Amino acid sequence: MEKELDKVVEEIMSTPNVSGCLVADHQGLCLASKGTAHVDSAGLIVALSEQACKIQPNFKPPTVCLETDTKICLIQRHGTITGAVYKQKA
Amino acid sequence: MQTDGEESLLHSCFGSLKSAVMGCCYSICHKETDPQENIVNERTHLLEVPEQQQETPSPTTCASTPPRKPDEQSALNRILHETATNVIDVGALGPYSLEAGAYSERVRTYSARAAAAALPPPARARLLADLPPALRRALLAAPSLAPADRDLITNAVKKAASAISELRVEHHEDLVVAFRVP
Repeated sequence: MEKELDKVVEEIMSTPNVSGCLVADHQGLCLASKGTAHVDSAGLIVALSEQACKIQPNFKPPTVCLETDTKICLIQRHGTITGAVYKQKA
Repeated sequence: MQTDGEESLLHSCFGSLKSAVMGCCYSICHKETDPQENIVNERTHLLEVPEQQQETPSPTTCASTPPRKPDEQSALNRILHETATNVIDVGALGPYSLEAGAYSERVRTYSARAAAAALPPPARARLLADLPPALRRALLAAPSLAPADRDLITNAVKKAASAISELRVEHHEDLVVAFRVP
């Protein structure tokens, strides 16, 4: 049933510098994870994006960016789905 | 005024009534004196209960439990005795206290041991550390997110959401089948 989702995840992974990808539903259930993205981090990622949305509730969901010296993790929500992309800093 | 005929009639009625009543009284009063009578009347016992059983249980029932449940009573007694042997009565042990000398001695011993085995206090793992203010200002002033990265994540999530919306169960075969029992 999840062939379409797998295709999308593969497409994201094939983007240059992307090391991991994760998709979760509104309750924190991990729907897909690939690369350096860990299955267990789905709940955390969803919680972060939920809290971020509360900062400005009337605006569209913001993008959360977790940065280290070498890597970044981008988190965003679209409807009920939250996605995270782990990327090497260019 | 009653006539003689009626009076004599009344007398005879009274007489028969008196004899009937007297007869009943006789049968009640003189029951004990004729125990060997085998005539079945309204006074004969339907169940022949011997005299002794009626007499003896009455004084004992007040004192102890009825004898017709001996197993239950013995089981209860057994449980009671078992519990009594297993119970540790802490209240009955008596006051326990450490002497002042023994207490201070122990304090000294333990603190000496603790000092000897002194370990450095466990360093709390710190993942996030505050940057110095200069670096902080510089970082916050810099452009937050590259537009390319922003587009990347936005498109990725949009595509994933649309892919998930197309998630459906594919029907291959029937779930419920009839048993073809010949």
